Amino acid sequence: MSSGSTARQSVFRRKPVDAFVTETRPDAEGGELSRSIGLFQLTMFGVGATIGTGIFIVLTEAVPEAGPGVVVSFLLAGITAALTAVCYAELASTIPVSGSSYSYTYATMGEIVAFGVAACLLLEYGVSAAAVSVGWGQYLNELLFDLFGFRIPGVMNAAPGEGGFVNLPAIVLVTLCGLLLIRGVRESATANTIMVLIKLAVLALFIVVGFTGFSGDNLEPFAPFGIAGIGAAAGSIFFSFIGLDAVSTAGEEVHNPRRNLPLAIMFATIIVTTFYILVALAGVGAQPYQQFAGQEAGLSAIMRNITGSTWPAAVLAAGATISIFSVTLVVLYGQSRILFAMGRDGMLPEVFHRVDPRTLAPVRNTIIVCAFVGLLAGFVPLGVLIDLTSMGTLVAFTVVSIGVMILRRTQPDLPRGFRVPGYPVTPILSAAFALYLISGLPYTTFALFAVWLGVAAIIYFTYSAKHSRLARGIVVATEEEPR
Amino acid sequence: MNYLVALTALGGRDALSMGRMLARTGDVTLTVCIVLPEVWGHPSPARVDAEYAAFLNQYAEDAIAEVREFLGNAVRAEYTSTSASSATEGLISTATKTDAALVALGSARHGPLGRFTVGGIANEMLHVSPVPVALAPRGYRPSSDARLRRVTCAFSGSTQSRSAFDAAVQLSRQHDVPLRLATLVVRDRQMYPSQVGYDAERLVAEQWRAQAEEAQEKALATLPDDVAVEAGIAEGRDWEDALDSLPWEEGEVLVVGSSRLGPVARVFLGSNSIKIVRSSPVPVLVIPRGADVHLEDAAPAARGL
Repeated sequence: MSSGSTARQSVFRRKPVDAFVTETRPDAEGGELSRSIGLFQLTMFGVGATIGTGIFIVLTEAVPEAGPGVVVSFLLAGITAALTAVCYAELASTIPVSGSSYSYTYATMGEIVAFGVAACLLLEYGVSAAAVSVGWGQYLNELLFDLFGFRIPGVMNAAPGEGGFVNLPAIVLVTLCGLLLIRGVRESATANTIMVLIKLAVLALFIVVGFTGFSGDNLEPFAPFGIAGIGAAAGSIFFSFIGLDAVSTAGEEVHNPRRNLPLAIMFATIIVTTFYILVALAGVGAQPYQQFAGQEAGLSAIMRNITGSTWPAAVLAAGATISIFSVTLVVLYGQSRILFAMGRDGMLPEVFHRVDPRTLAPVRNTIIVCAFVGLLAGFVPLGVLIDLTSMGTLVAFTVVSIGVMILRRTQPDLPRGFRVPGYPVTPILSAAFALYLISGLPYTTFALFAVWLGVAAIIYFTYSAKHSRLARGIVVATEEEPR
Repeated sequence: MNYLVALTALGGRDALSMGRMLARTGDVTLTVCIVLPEVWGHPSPARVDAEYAAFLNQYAEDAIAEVREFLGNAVRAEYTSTSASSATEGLISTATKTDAALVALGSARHGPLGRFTVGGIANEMLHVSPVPVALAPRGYRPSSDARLRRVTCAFSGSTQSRSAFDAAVQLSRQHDVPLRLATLVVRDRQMYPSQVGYDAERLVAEQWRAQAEEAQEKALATLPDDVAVEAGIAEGRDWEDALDSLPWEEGEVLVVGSSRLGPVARVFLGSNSIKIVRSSPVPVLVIPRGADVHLEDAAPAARGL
C-alpha cells in the first residue's frame, strides 16, 4: 500500500484511469454530439494512416537485404502488424483514455515503462516523420525532373552520410507542415478518404505498369540472402505498416466496436498488405534486385525504366508528393499531442503543454517537434531513420502485446470493449513476431536504440521522476497491484 | 464623457438603441452624428452644388428630428452633422473633435438578426479607428428604459487582452456596473486519422481551461476591491457555441481587444476577435491596440465622478 514508497515502487506508479478521464472530460452535458465512426471510415483511417509512411521509399532499402524474397518479408511484416494492431485494440478498449500506447502503459504498467514506450513512440512518430519527409524530397525531385528536366543538386538534397550536405526539401516539408499545424489546419475525415483514393490509384498505376515489364528471370534467385535476409528486410519493412494503430485508438467513437474494430483492422491490413505485396512483386519483377540499392524515388524510377516515357513516372511522383505530405502532417500532429500528454503528466517541462492564448493550440510544442524532426530529416541518412523507426515501433508493440497479457492476469474483471480473439495465442504470437523482426535489424540500430533509451533514462531520472504529477502528489497514483 | 453614435442615411436604429442604453448611466452625453457627402463650397453659375447642399442639409435636419423624437428626453444628447469625403473620415474627425470615448456603429443589413455583420463603414472603422468602436447587433432593440447592467471582457491572458481588460474595468467603473471576465475555450478540430486517439483536442482544451483560470486569477488580483467582478469560462465546439453557453443580461456589452498585428493605438481585429464579433449576441466594444495608455489618462476624472 502507500507505506511502501520505495524507489522501485514509485517508478512503477500507475496513473489512475479516472485521472485520464477527468482530463479529457468526455462531455457529460452533451456539449458535443458523439461522433459515430462506421466500418468504412474506420478502415479508411487505417489505410490512410498506413499507406504513404513507407511503401514509396522502402523498396530501395529492403530489396538489397532480401532480394526478390522481399515479397515474403511484406507478408511477414503484414501479419505482425495485424496481430499487434489487434492487441492494441484490446488495450485501447479496456482503458477508456484518450491517447496512444503511452497512456495505456501509464495506466497499466507504471510510469517508467510508459516513459520507455514514449521514447519508442518518439521513434515511431518523430523519426518516421523525418524518414517520410526524406522520401518526399526524393519524389519531389523526381517530379521536377519529369516535368522540367532538372533536379535539386545533391549537395542540398541528401544527408551528409549520403553524399550531400543537407536535405533541404525534407526540411522544407517539415517546416510547411509545422506552419499548417500552428495555423490550425487539420486533415478531416473526408480529406483522408480522398488521400486514400489518391494513394491507392497511384499504387494501382504502378502495379499495372510494373507488370507489363514483368520478367520471371528477375525473380531468380528468389532468396539470395536466405531466410535471414528475408527476416532482416521484414524488420525494415515494418516501418511501412506504421499507422494501423490509428484504427485501434478510435475506441469509443466507433459504432459497435466489438464487431467493427477487428473488422476494420483486418480489412485495412488486408488492403494494405495486398497492395504492398503487389507493388513489391511488380517492382522485383521489373528489374534485377541488384538495381534497387540507392535508387531514389524508387517506384517512379522503375516506371520510367519500364515505359521509357516520363509521364507515368510524373503521375506517380505527383501522387506520392501529395500523399506523403498528408501523412507527414498526421504524424507530426500525433507526435506533438503525445508530447503534450506527457507534458500534462509532468514528465516533460511545461513548454510542451503550454497552450498559446491566441491560437488555442500548443504552438511551442509543435515548433520543438518540427525543429527536431526537421534536423533529423535534414542530416540523418534515410536507412538509419527507417531502421530506428521500425525498432521503436516494434518495441512499443511488443510492450503492448505483453501489456494485454499482464492486464488479463492482474485485472481480469475490467470491462473490455473488445477482446483479442484466440487469447493467449494471439498476443504471444504478436510479441514473438515482433521480437523476430527486431532480431533481424542491423547491430548499429541496436546500438543507436540503446543510446536512445539511455538518454531517455537520464531524462526520466533527472527530471521526470521528480516532476511527474504523480510524484508531486497532484494526481494520486493507483495503489500497488492487487494480486 | 461623450459617446458618438453614427447615424446612417438609411435610419438604422441599432446603434442608436445601443447608445441610448449606454448613456442611461455614468454621466454620458450622446453625440449623434450624421455624415454628409462633401460639396463644392464655391459659388457656381447654376448653383447646382448649392442646391445639392441645401437638399443634404434638409435631409440631415429631418433625420435628426426623427432621432430626437426617438431618443426623447431620456438621455442627454447633442446632434450634429458633418461633411466629409467618406463616412469613416467624418466619424473619426468628429470623434476627435468631440473627444468621444467610443463610436457606436450598427450592423450591415444583410447579416442575421441578433448578430453583428461587418459592413463597409464598420470594416474601415475596425481598421483605423483611434477610439473604441461599439458594434450593435442587427435589430438590437433593448427596452426603451434599458441601461447597462454588466460589462463582460473577453479575456485570454495575452498582452492584447490586457488592454481590453483595462478598458472593461474602466467602463464598468464609469457606469458603476459589475464586471465579468469570460475566457472562451474553443476546441480545435480533430485530425483524422489520428494515431493518438480522437480525444487529443479535448486534452488541449482542458489544459487551456486550466491556464485561463490561472490568468483570470492573476488579472483579478490586480483589481482594487471596489470593483464587483466575476469570472467565467465558456466552452464550446466553436466560438458561437461558446458565447451562447454564457448567460447574458439585457443591458450587457462584450469588450474585446485588438490584434497585435495592427498599428499601435488603432483598432484592428484579429482572427479570434472577428469570430467573437460575428458570434456575439450582445453589443461588442472593440478596444484599439495599446488603448490602456489613453484610457488611463481619463481614469482619474472618471473616478472623481
